[in-house]
This record gives sequence, C-alpha cells and structure tokens, in this order.
Amino acid sequence: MTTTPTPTVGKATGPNDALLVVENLGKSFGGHEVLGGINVTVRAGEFMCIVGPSGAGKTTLLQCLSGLTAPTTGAVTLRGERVTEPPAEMAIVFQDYSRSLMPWLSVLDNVALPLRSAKIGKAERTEKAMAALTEVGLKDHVHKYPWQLSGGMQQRVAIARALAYAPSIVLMDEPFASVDAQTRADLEDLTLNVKRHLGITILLVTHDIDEAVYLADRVLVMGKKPTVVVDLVETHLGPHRDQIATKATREFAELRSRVYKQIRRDDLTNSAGSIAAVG
Amino acid sequence: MPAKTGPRRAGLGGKRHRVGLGAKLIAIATVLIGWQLLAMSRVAGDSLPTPVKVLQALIGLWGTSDYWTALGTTLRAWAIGLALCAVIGIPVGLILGVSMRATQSTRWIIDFFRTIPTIALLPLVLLLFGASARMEITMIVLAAIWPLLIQSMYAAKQVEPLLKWVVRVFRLSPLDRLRYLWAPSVSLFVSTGMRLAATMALLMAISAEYIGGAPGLGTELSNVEEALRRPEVFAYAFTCAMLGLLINVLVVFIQRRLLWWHPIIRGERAA
Repeated sequence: MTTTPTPTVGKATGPNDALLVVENLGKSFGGHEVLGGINVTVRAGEFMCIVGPSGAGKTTLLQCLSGLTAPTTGAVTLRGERVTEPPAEMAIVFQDYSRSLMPWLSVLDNVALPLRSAKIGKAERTEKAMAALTEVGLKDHVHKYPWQLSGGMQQRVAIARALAYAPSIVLMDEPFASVDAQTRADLEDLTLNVKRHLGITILLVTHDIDEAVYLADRVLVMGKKPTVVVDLVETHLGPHRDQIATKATREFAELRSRVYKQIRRDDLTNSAGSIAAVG
Repeated sequence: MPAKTGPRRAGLGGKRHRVGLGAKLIAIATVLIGWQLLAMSRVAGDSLPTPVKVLQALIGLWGTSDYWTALGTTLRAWAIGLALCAVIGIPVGLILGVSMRATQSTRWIIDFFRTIPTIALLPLVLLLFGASARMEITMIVLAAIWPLLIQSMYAAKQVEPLLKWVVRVFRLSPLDRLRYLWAPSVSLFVSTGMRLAATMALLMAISAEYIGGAPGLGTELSNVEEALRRPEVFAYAFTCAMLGLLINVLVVFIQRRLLWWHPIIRGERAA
C-alpha cells in the first residue's frame, strides 16, 4: 500500500490545479465576527492543514467550506461551482467519533450508509464498504457495533465511511483530538498512507502545530478572532514521513518554529491591541 | 470490551440485578394468604370474597362466551384507539418538536387539554356517539394521545445534531434520513410514550365501558355488580389487571428488542 504511485484525481482537474477556492470568506454570528475575510486556494491532491489557536473559528471555517453553514460574505467554489450544500465529491470526518457514528448500525452498515446516495446495488455497497474498512485496517471488526470499539478504532470507522463515499476531497475537523497520543500518531500515519494511496485531497483542521507540519504539504496559519490567514507555509517534507525521523529533521524544526512564531505574534499583537483599547 | 459476544446478549445481560423467582412467589403467596384471612374475618363481612371463590368464579367465566366476547371487544377498541393515538400523536408530536417555535407556541394548548380529566368529557362524547365502540375509541384517543404527543415532541429534540450533519454531508435522501436517522433516534422516547399510552388507553377503555356503557369488559363488570355476584366482580377486575400487566410486559419486550443498541438499554453510559 505504501509504494503505489499516486493516481490522478478527478474529472478535468490535474494535480496542483485549483480544486477548492475560498474568496473573501467571512462569517458573523449576530454581529459577532468570527471569520474576517479568508482567501485560500486548495490544490487538487494536496494535504493542507489549517492550524490556529483554540477558538479561532477553525471549525466554523470548515462548516462554511463544506456548505453546512452559509457564509456571511464571500464564496466557496469547488471546481468552479459554488458550494451551498455539501457537494457529492466531498466527505467530512468530525472530531467527535462517539457522536458521528450511528450506534444502531454495525461498523459495516455505518460505512456503507453514504453509498445509498450513489444508487448502486447492495452487493456493490458492501464490497466498497469492505474495501474502505480494509484500507483502515478494520476488516476483522465489520460486524461489531461502534460502541464496542475503542476510540481510535471508532475514528477509523469514520475515516472508512468518508473513503467509501469515494470523495475527491476530505475535510477533517480535529479528527485526532479525542484519542491518546500513540493512537493519534497511528491515525496520522494511516491518514498519510490513505491519502498517498488514493490520491485524494485532504483539508485537516488542527490546533496542534506538530501535527499540522507533520501531515501537510501546506500549512495555513490562522490568527485569533476575527480570524484571517496569517501565513501559508509550504513544507517540502516529501511524500514519505516518519514520526521519529521526520520530526528530527532541521526542516521540521524550522517549519514548526515558523508556524509557532506566527501564532504567537498574532496572540501578542491582539492582546496589545485590547490593552490599548481598554486604556 | 466485550470480545465475541453478540450485541443482543451484551445488551441484555448487563448489570441488572435479577431477584429470584422464589422471592417473587413468596410475595404473591403472602398477599393471597392475607387476602384469604381478611375475607374470612369479620372485618370484611361477606362483601369480600375469598381468593379461592374468585378463582372459581374466574374459571366459571372462562367457560362462558360472554367473557371472551367482552374481552375481545375491549381489546379491539383498545387496539384501534391506541393505533389512532400513534398515527396522530407521533407525527404531530415529532413535527411540533422539530421546531422550537412550534413547541413553545403550542405548549400551553397541549398542557391545557392534557390537564382536563378526560372522563369529564364523557357526557359530551356520549351525546355525540351514544354508548358505542365509537364513543369508547374517541375517549381512548382523548385520554391516551397526550403522553405520546409529548414524548414525541421531546423525541424530536433528541436527534444528535452531528448526525443531522452527517446525513447532509453524505447526501442521503429524505426517506433514508427518516429510516436511518430519525426512526432510530426517536424510538426510545416514542416507545416510552407508547407504553404510557397503552396503559392509559386500557384504563379509559374500561372506564368508558363501565360508566358510558359501551360493550366490553367494563359493561360485564357493571352487569355482575348489579347482580351482586361479588366473586365475578373480582374475577372481571382481576382480568382487567392482568390485561394491563400483560400489555406493559409486551411493550417493554418490544422496546428491548428494538433498542438493544441504546446506551440506556444496554445498561452502560456512552463514552
């Protein structure tokens, strides 16, 4: 699974072409501005991580990108088409696996459920769900129920469900924030492998700088509310990464400190601003 | 983690503490002996028949077609009334429950109707339909629809918001959303509503027969009462009680079969 060349993705879009375009995206809740005009272009086939401090509106951004929430200003387009509802070629993995899976369906049925919208037969649905579950290493647990599995395994089910849907882009909202450190590292590597193997585009939101740098081709650094893009960092760490070796490289350390400084600086200017406002 | 046990088994085993059958039988025997002693004492005079006489009367009634016809008539009115409650109460409750505005604006009307003692409406319904099954069914619906309606309203609010997003993200059809998200999500509260409604429907069925004169167990009860056949009065009352018990057991059984996956039924807290 590790050495398969990246298959070309999607209809008219080649690698490195714009897939998801975000223009001047703003979101306010009752006059309270959460997102303050975000511009970014996600390329087909890339792994982009969105990193920012807690409460920076990262989750709100993801909801706007997927069409679950309508933005107040600006627009999101996928292959030139405006996103108003979740598009057919997009899947999402949510943070809270215990609430995002259906406890009344078996692991297999949970993963096969999205395929019901694809208008294919039951046998084919099962086959595709099995393939996705094999991809995440769960083929021996398909007849269990989500609540019989550990947290990490439940999140694998959620990832398999997204993969079975055969999307060209997967949004992940803090997907590893609720599992222990070892499981987290395993799931990160699993996600990298799956991405390489299936050639999908991944947009992952995290508050963890190390995770963002380790996973991403490009890291989008966000500031505090109202959130804007502070920096966009290209990682150049190559397609094959290792939890120990990659994190020990100089490039990794440099990238990490660059992202860290961006977030810190934004913190400091923000608090300086509020002190001035009070004074 | 339960390794290889089936989900059904894992669900029903659990932490529930079962009292042995022996203890239950002792409790029943104590009550029966107490009843026998009370009936034989001077306190009750001859107004209270002994359990033995009641049992004899019951066995005697089992040989009559009147008994079985009355039982069948009552059960039929109960079933039709309950079905009507379900068909009206569940969808209306769910629809009102989905929208916060609908819930709040209808809340006081529902509370108003719910607090009217249904039996007070009997003369009105009797004037409309006479001492008929239709009157009885109307009374059942008027009495039993409220718990179902209110439980369904709460049920609609129990649907996990994240799962509502999941079905949107994966573009499930409205029918699939109903089948795979809404139906399982609301089933705990709705089935609890059904349980309350089933008991209330039986109470109202027998009351409407006894007071309103619609055919059924209640009318038979009233007939034997007027004939001063005390053991038969108790035998009919006993029949009604057993019916209520049986219905409750049945609904709980169905609820457990349907909701084995639910954290509350499987007897553990969700993570």
